[in-house]
Amino acid sequence: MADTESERKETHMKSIDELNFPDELAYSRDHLWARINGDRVRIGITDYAQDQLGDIVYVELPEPEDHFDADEEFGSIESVKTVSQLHSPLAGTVSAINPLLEDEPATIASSPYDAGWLIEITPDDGVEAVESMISKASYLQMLSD
Amino acid sequence: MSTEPTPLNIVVIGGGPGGYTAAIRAAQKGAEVTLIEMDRLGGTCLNRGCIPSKCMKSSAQILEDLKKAGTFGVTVEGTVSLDMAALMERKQKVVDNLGLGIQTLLAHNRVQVIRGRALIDAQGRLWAAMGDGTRSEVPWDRLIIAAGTGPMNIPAFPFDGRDILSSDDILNLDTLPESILILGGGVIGCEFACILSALGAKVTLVEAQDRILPVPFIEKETVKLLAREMKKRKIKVITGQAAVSATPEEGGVRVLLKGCDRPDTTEILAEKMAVCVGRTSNAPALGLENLGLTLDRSGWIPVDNFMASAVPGIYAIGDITGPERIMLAHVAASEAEVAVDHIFGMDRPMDYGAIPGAIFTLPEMANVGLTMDQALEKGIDARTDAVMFRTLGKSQVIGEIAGESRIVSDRQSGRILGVHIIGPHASDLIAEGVLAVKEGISVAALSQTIHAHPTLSEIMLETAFKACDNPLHG
Repeated sequence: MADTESERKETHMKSIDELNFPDELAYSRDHLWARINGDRVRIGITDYAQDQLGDIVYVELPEPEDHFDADEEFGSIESVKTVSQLHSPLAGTVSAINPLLEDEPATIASSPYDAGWLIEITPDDGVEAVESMISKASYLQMLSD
Repeated sequence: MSTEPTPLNIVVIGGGPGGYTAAIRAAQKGAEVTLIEMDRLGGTCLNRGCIPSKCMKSSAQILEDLKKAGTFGVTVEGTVSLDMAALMERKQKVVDNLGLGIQTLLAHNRVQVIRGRALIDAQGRLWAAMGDGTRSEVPWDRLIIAAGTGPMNIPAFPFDGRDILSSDDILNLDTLPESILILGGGVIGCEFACILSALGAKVTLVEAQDRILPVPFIEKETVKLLAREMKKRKIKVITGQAAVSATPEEGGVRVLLKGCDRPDTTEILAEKMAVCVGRTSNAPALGLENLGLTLDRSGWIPVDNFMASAVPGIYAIGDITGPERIMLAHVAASEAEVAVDHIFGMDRPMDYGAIPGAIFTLPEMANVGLTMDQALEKGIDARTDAVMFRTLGKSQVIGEIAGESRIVSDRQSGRILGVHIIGPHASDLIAEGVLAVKEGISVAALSQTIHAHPTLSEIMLETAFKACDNPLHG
């Protein structure tokens, strides 16, 4: 469970301007991001979400071929502090899950937008469905409210 | 009811937790008591259930603890490995010692113990058939049947003690199989799945219904957490499928599973298969028909809430009364008291309202009272509140943070209707919940009760705070 070689996390959580939010991604009110990858959409949690969670100890992911409606729970992220449910931003079928996370869940913290991606789905309504998600600006606005 | 002249001649069939409790209580009340046991005192609980399985779990726990010892600053030199023979030797020693304890208790209470198989002949008489072929006649004024159950066999692939194992066989394994398929995701199946996985076996757990622990008094939210913990331990869980065939072959057992509501099939090859799909009554072999006592369709003995059967003077307690009356050792013991009280003219009905259940999975689960679904079905305006163990200091200290405690309460009165815990020492923590449910304690009263810090018992306090809309750490 606890990775003995992981760095001691800072005890305070970061402020929004210390966190990263890539411009080109779509976001959701549940703190997920989405990136179009061909005819699929790759999904993960934002830097804000991973910072709030603290030391991540386990990621519960679905299986490929599982289908989820928009807002349906598809998994959970467990940290030393809490357990957070993950809700799918789009309706679709899981095409891939990140194999790294089974043994290295802390990858989400060090690389939430790249190596720490969670799942990839084939959206029911095609990749255009990503347009139903919110922009970086709207997401940042939500965080500062 | 008129007082019977003493000493009454009371015969108890079965020396398990129900039987030996009944025998002792009856002797304490002045009866002449004979207990007939065909195998070992302590019954299923001591010899083939509660005790041996928890011995296995204790060893598994130590293995787990040693594996993470480094995190706690304790260096373990060399390899930490399982010695199954030594595990079983310890298990047997514990079982034997406890069995001797029961024997001593019975002797101390002047209960006559006959080692033999009881065969009921007629009203007031039965035979005890001994191992050497002889029979002795045993007269009785009152009969308490506590003969229990055995593991349920599936005729398509019966137990063979080698490839297709019963729970009895698992408790006597001489080596740990590399892989095992456990058929049956009930309490026993789930416990073994966790224990064997922690000991190092690759476990597949198969349940025909759509969730593991598909039992109405087990809270579904708690089961979701167990499912996640099993996933973490890489226990493969298959729901909605049942086994249609299990064929021993070179290297193991080939099992074919078929969807119950769906047409899908799965084929699994495992070194062994364990079948943990339920228990069967030992009543049919007793000769009860000679008394005109009819068993129900499944072979259970129907009784009223005084544990009295349809035939006057004959009582049945424990597992043999069937699953409707909750097949647990502590229920059998409580029913024993009720039956004996009734024999002696005290009409005190058995109360099934606050019965704790403890499931020795990893982490442990425990429950008492109603689930949220059950409360809503009864038309109660109920609410449910849960607090995670990881919010407690003690939990973080011992490094066991998975789990939660959940209270189902009446929205109006705050009365605690049910408590459902999954997490460290849940089986011990539930006692407070049992008292709360039994005595109708409210979440307000619980929230005003001081709990020692830092202990796991604080989870009850924190859940009570939340249920009063006054959360603190939770």
